[in-house]
Amino acid sequence: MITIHPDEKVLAIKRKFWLPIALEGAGLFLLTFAPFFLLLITNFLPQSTQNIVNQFDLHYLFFATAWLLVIWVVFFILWTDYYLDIFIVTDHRLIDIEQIGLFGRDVAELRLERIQDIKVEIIGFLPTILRFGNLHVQSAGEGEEIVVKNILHPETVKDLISRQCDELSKTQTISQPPGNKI
Amino acid sequence: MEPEALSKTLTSIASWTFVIAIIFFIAASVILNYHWSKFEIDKSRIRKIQGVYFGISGILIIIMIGLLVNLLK
Repeated sequence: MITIHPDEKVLAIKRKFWLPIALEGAGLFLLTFAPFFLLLITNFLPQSTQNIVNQFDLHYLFFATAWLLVIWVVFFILWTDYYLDIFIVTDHRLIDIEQIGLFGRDVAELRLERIQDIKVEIIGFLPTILRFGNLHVQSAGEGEEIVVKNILHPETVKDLISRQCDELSKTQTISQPPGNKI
Repeated sequence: MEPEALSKTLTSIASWTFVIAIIFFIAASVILNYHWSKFEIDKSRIRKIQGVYFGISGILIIIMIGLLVNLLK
């Protein structure tokens, strides 16, 4: 569960690009038709074999329905894994939530003032055409990095974070009391 | 194998398949529902998703029960 503080404003909520889950869904959709495809194949078998298959049509229909139920549940498991991966940009921090299967969840948080470097990575033909890629946010701490994979328009998100970091540093400079001069 | 014996074997396998499928469905649904209720930000959207998921699953389970009852007759 994510808790957004009362004085905190959510600037963007980003989910992973839909293409990878769509490809997985398409694969499952093809598997859905496997029993019906097998039924079509039996039409090309000898008449005696067809008669045996026809004798057990209710059994066949039952197993096909069970198969559909399993595919349906598996699709929702994959979809949940995709859907619960969220990247949130607020005016104070970045929150990266990654759902790892059904039993794993990784939540990383980075305060804007600790951001040192932001990098966008768009590699490959499809990511270039469809404008999706990875966003790397490096913190001031050694080796601390948030990597948000496969988000749409990562450069827009990068600009948003950069702008917010600039505004935050301006606010901090204004509110900082003048130091003692030596 | 005689058709009668084959039919009995297939019906027995179907009964066990039904039990396993239902256990799998219940376990997966409990876990999915927990994740949706706990981690989703947009509650109204998740209610629609739950409706679709449980609606279609319910129809498939009813079809399976109907077919299994016919097989066991």
